[in-house]
Amino acid sequence: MHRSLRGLVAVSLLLAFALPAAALTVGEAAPDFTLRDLEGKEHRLAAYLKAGKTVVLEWFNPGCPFIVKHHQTLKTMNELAAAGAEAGVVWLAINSGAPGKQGHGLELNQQAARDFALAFPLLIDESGAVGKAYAAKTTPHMYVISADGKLRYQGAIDDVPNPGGPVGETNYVATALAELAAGRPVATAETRPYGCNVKYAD
Amino acid sequence: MRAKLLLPFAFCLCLDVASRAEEPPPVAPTVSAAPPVRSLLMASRQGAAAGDTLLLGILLEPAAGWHLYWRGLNDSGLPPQPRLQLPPGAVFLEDWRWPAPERLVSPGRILDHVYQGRLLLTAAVLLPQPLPPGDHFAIEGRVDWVACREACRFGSDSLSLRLPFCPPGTPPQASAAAERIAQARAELPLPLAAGEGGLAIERGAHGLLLTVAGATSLAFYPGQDCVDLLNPLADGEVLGGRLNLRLAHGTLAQGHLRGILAVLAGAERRHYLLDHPLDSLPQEEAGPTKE
Repeated sequence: MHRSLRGLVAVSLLLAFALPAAALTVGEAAPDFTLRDLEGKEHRLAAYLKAGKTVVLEWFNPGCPFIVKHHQTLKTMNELAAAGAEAGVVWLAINSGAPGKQGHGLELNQQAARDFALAFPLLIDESGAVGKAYAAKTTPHMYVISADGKLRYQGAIDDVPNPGGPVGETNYVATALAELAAGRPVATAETRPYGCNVKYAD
Repeated sequence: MRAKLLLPFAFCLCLDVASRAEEPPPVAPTVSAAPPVRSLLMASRQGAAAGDTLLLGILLEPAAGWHLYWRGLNDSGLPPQPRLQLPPGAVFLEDWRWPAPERLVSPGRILDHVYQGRLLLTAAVLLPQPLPPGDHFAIEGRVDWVACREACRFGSDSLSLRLPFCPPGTPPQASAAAERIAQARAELPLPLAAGEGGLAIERGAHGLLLTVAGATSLAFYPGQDCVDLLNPLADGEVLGGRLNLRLAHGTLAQGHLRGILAVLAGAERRHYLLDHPLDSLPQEEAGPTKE
């Protein structure tokens, strides 16, 4: 590991455990993290950024009806992730649910990954440290991080906060990715996220 | 003479159909088939009279341990979304009226305002005069809800209510639900302006200072269109009669402080609707606020 990267990870881990769940500020550095996916493979934010990738983070809980809407009913996430992948965007789902809470468990998430035909890694954060470092409150709670490590968007996936509702007229993440790809600032950089609360440990 | 003979029949008709509307059998569409929430549409009248104002109620009953969400500012969840189609000529006189919720703080500093027990939304409806052709009004619609305990569930229930027409000159009778609806409306938060009821609102060094004389605790539940507050979780509840609400953007001259103020005074808890324009407050003491 590069010295700078190692330092970044160390600092980010300190941040992750020390910071309360206060809101992140768009334009500031996104906290780094390392988490394992369902196959045990490590994913490090800093490594993706170093490779020049834009990264989308999606907080995830397979039992949450808002997640079911966007993964099973509408395929919002898969379609957007696939479109982004063509442009080199990395999409990472993160489950910060604690043991014993809705949506926790390796087998359950593996099953969900199959049911939802997840086309991107699902990372497990059962301590909730990364979720709290990002002040993630809902599933889904979306973050877009540009290759320079700055947080460029945080909030809702779209403008229809109803699990039984239609496709949103505005997909904020799609818009943010398009603006970043065009070299423009993200016009709507922050919205109120909606969804189930993240099932952190008591 | 003919009208007098018809009156008893008219009452019987109203009573019969209204009782079906208020106590539907288990298979009726007004009862949610999906636990953990049961929903029911009800009216304050047994029948529909021309030009009458009646009250509608949507009762949502979460199972023990489950909660529903207020329509104000929440970090998660979704408030019930009622969508009713009134018959031709009938109009809503107001938006659905929501009772006061309670604060719920979940792990991860997640702040919501919820109903842990029954939730009864009410709204006044004006019926047309004259009544259209036919012998009854059918009110149909749905209510979408998200209920959470530890897990969250989504449901979308059908609602329906049939109100038979009362013959001209026949006064509509109160339904069995009328008292429950009236009680719910009597418990709604009342509007309160600064200077009333011992409430004072002024700018403090870091935001807005609410003072209620005689209060032993205060809580503020921000509405959806409330001015941005810096930290409703930390600031929204206090022991004593002084509540300091920091503003998100320092000196903010515009917007309204909108929401519900819960006042505990001794053993009595009261809820008030606040809608206070910030531009009515002096500016000089407000300073930039940083969390």
